[in-house]
Amino acid sequence: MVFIPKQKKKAIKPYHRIKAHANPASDYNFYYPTGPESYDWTKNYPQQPMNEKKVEIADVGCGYGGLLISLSSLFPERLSVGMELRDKVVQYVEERIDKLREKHIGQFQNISVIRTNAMKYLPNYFEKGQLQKIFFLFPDPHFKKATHKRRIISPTLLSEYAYILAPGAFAYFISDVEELYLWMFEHFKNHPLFEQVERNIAENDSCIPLIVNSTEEGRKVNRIDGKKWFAVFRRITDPTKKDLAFKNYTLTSPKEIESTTSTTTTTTTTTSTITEIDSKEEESK
Amino acid sequence: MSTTAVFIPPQIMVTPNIEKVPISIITHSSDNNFIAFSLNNKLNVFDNKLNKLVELESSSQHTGIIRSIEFSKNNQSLITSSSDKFLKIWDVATNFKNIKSINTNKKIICSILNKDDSGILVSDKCGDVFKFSLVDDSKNKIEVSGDKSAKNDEKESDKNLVFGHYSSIVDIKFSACFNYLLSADRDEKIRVSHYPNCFDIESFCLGHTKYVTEILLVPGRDDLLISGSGDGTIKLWNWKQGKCLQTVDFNGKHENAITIPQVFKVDTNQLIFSIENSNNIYLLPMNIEKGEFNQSELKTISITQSSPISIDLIDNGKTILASLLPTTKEVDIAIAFDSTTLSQDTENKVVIAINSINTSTTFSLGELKSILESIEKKQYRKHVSYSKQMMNSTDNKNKEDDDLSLDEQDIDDSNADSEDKKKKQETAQDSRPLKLRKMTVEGDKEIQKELEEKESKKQE
Repeated sequence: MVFIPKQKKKAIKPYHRIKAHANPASDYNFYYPTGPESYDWTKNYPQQPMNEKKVEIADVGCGYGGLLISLSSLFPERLSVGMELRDKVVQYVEERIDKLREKHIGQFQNISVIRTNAMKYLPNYFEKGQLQKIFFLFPDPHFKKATHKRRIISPTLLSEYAYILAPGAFAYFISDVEELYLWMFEHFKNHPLFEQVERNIAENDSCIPLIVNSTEEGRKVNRIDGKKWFAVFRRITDPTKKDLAFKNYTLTSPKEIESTTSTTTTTTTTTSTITEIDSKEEESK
Repeated sequence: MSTTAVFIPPQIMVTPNIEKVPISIITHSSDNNFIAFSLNNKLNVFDNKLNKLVELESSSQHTGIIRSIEFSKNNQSLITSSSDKFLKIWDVATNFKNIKSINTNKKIICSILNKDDSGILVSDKCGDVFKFSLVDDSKNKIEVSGDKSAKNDEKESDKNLVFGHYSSIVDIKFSACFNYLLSADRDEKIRVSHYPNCFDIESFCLGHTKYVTEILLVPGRDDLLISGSGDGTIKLWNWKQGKCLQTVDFNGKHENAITIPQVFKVDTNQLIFSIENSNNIYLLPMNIEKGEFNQSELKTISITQSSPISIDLIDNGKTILASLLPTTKEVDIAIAFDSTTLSQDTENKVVIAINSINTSTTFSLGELKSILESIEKKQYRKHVSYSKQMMNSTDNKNKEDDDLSLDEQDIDDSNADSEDKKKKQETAQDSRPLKLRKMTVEGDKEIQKELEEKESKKQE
C-alpha cells in the first residue's frame, strides 16, 4: 500500500523552529540579483502585471509576515514585499501566503516574501526612489555595544534607505525596547534626508494600527502588557529646508489606538484565525 | 528553501611562495621628480633628479603594512596610511622627513586625499569612512578604547564619519570635479555619492558578480569609470547614471581571472591592467569619443619571471614600471618596459636601484600571510569566508531538512489510517533519536504513550 501524505492545511509555526537572531554581517549563501532589472518579480507575484506595476512597500525584517497579510487588504492595488534573513522564517511565510492564496482565490496576490539581507542588498532589488513605504518593526535590539553595527538603523544605512525611497515616502519604525527606539529615533532625526511627520498626520495614518498590533512580535508585547514606541519619518529631498524648529515627539502605543484596531483595519478573520493558532501554540510551549 | 538558490563554488586560492619582500604599491609624483614605493611596512622613495634612493629615517617608518601612498596635488608632501592605525605625512622639501603622524585608531584599508589636500578620507575594516584633517589636529577626534569616558568620545568620533558601506570598502575615488565620491565594496557594488553631502546617494553601479578589486576614472572623460572584479571582467560604466556600457570578459585568458585595472595611459588611451597570478601585463585600447574598449587590439606583455603586482607609468608615461611577486630568490622585484615598443628596458635606473635593495629575508608564517593579504586584498574576499561557511552550512542544512521531514511525518501520522500510522511510527522511531523526538509536541506525546504501554505490559 502506498502511503500518500495528506497536505498540511496551514503553515504551523513550531515546525519552522528557528533562532530569534541572525547575523547580518556574515555571508549567507543565497541568490540575489545583480541589479533591479535582472530580478524576476513574476515568481513572487504570478497574477500581477509586473511590467506595469512595481513593488512600493517593503517590510524589512518581516518575521512571520503578520504585517504583510494586513497590508494586502489595506492596499489592494499596491505590491508589498517582506524581506527576511532567516531561511526557516521565509519558508514559513511563503507557505502561509500560498495557503492563503489557495483558500481565498484572487486575494493575497499582492504580497510576497524574499530571503535577503536587506542591509546589504536593498539596491539590488529596488531602483532609486521606487518605494513609497518602508517598515522596520521590532528589529533585533543588539544590546551589546560591540554588535551595534548590526542594528538595522545606522547613519550609513539610512542613506541607502533614503536612496530607495521616493521623495515624500514614509518610513515607519517601532520597538518595545526603549534603548533601541531612542537609538533609531536619534539617527532618523539627525539624518539630513529624513524629517518627522507631523503628529496629526502620523496619528491618522492607517498603517499605525497595523504596525502596533498586526505583527506577531507586537501581539507578544500586548500579551505581556509591554510598552511600544514608534515614529514615522518622511523622506525629503532638500536638507536645507528641513524644519529645524519642528518639535519632535514620541508616540507610545496608547490604548485608543489599540481599541480602534478592530474598526480601522480592514483585515478580517483570516489573519486572526491563523494567529490564534500561533499564539496558542506559543503559550503551550 | 528558495527555489532560485544558486550555489557559488568557493575558489581555491593558490598561495604563492615569497622569498623576498615584494613591492605592493608604486606611485609617482605628478612632476615626475619622485617615485615612491612600499616594501612591506617601509616607505622608499627614488629621486629621479639625483638618480638615487632617498634615505629615510627608519625610526619614523610605519609598523604595519602600508595601504596607500599618495602625493599631495602640489607635490609638497607625501601621505601614507597603514594598517598600524597611523597616517604619516612626509615633507618632500626636507628630504622626506616625517613631519606628522595622525592616530586614526582604525585599521586603514584605503584612503584618498580631498580636493585641496587639507583632509583625507580613510576607510576602515568595517566599511566606515572617516575624515581626518591634515591641517587642524583639533578636528581629529578619536575614540580611545578602554577609556572610561568612551561614550563621549564615541559621539565625537561619529562627527568624523563621512559615510559607510555595510561591508569592507575596497577602493575609493573622487570624480574629476570632486563633487562626487565613488566607492567600491566586496559586495559587488560601486556607490556614487555626492560630496561633501555623502548621505545623498546619486546611483549604484551594479553588475559585477564578485567583489570589485579596483576602480579607475578615465582621464579626459569625466563620465566614465572602469572597474575590475573577481568575476574576471572589466566593466565600463557611466557612473552618474549607474549604467554599464561595456563588459570585457577575460575568463578565457586565465582560469579564475581576477582583473585589476592599474593605470590609464592618456596619450594613447590605453588601459593598463593585470590579472592576478598571471604573468602578463595587458594594454587595452579605448575609443575615447565613443566610450568603448577596442577588444580586438588588446596587447600583451608577457613576463617570463613572475606575475606583476602593482604597475605605474613613469618618465611622463614613457616607461611602464611593474613590481613582481618574488617567488624565488633570483626573481627581481621590479621590471620596466618601454610603453610604445613594449620591449623590456633592462637599463632603467629606477629598476636597477630598486633591485639593488637587499630585501631577501625569511618570513614567519604570520608575516607572510599579512603581506599576501595586503597584496591580494584577501581579507575582503567573499569566497574565502564562503568556503569556511560552506563546510558548516551543508552539514547544518541536511540536519535541518531531516528534522523538517520528520516533523511532517508526525503530522501525517495523526491523520493517516491506523495501518499506516503503525508503519510510520515504526520508521519515525527507528530513524530518530529520543532526544530529538522529545523536542516536538507530537514526539512528546509519542514518548508518553510508549511509557504507558510499557507500564501496562509490566502490570500484566
